[in-house]
Amino acid sequence: MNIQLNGKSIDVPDDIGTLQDLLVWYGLQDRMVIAELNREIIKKETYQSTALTEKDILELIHFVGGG
Amino acid sequence: MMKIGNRTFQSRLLLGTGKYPSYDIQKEAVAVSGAEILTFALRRMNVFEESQPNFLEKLDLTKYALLPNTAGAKNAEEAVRIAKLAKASGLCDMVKVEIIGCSKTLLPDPVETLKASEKLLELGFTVLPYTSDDVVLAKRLEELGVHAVMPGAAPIGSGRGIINPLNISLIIEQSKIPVIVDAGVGSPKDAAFAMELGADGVLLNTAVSNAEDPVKMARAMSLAIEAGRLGFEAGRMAMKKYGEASSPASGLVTS
Repeated sequence: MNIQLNGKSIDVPDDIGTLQDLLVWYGLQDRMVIAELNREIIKKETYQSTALTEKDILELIHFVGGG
Repeated sequence: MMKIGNRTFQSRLLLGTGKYPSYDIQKEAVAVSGAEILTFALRRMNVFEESQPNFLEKLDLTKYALLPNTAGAKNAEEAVRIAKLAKASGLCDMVKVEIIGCSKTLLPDPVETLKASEKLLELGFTVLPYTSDDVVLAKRLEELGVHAVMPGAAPIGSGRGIINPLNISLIIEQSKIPVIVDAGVGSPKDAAFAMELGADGVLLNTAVSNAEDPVKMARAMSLAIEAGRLGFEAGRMAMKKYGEASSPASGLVTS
């Protein structure tokens, strides 16, 4: 499956079906992360039930230093 | 005490978290500053490389209120999107509306700032717009219902101090909501000056993070803001054209 993650086209292995799977794959499951899928904000409680599909546009956002 | 929306704060210093030389220095600077409100920006995670330590993740969130900014937004729509993402973290309901209208001066876009503030108020945010020092714009923002207005002292990161103290004082005079002087503060003198003018608080970042000793400067800013506030509350003496002796004019030893 090919999706766009933070502006980059990536190929995701077939066994990654949900947003939670993807976070685990990148080792981000315990990080403070905000997810936006196809311009919709995804609540943390639904990461497990949010299916990823071909051509999805996913943004994984976090807080960084700023003024 | 400073009240913003339904929250009260003891410290009148709002501290930015960008551009510190190291995490350890930043941690110490934040601690000695006494700041209770810390600003942050939102960015894409660098998921493709080994992750760097994230300051926010190391912070005791029970001690600080987070004030995410919408930096990077060029219009109201983008600012609202960033604010919604920030709120989705579940860590904050305040937002600093920051919409840059000029990439060279980094001055804010007043029209888009007004539009974004209106929308974010509708959505239930606690809204703190960073604005230019325009007196009428500050009034218009207050009429919309924003929770504080944050006029810039000078362009972001310029460290030039308060360029137009008259405008800042007119904004303070007319406002019933907190006025926080944001951006352009370079030294403790500037921060104290803002407070002496009657500002409710000062938001700064580079003045501390780019100081030779950020920890010492954080403390200096904290003291300056406290001193300036006390000076404002005490009410300064009237300025006079000529000298006026402090010692009695009568009973002089010399004839």
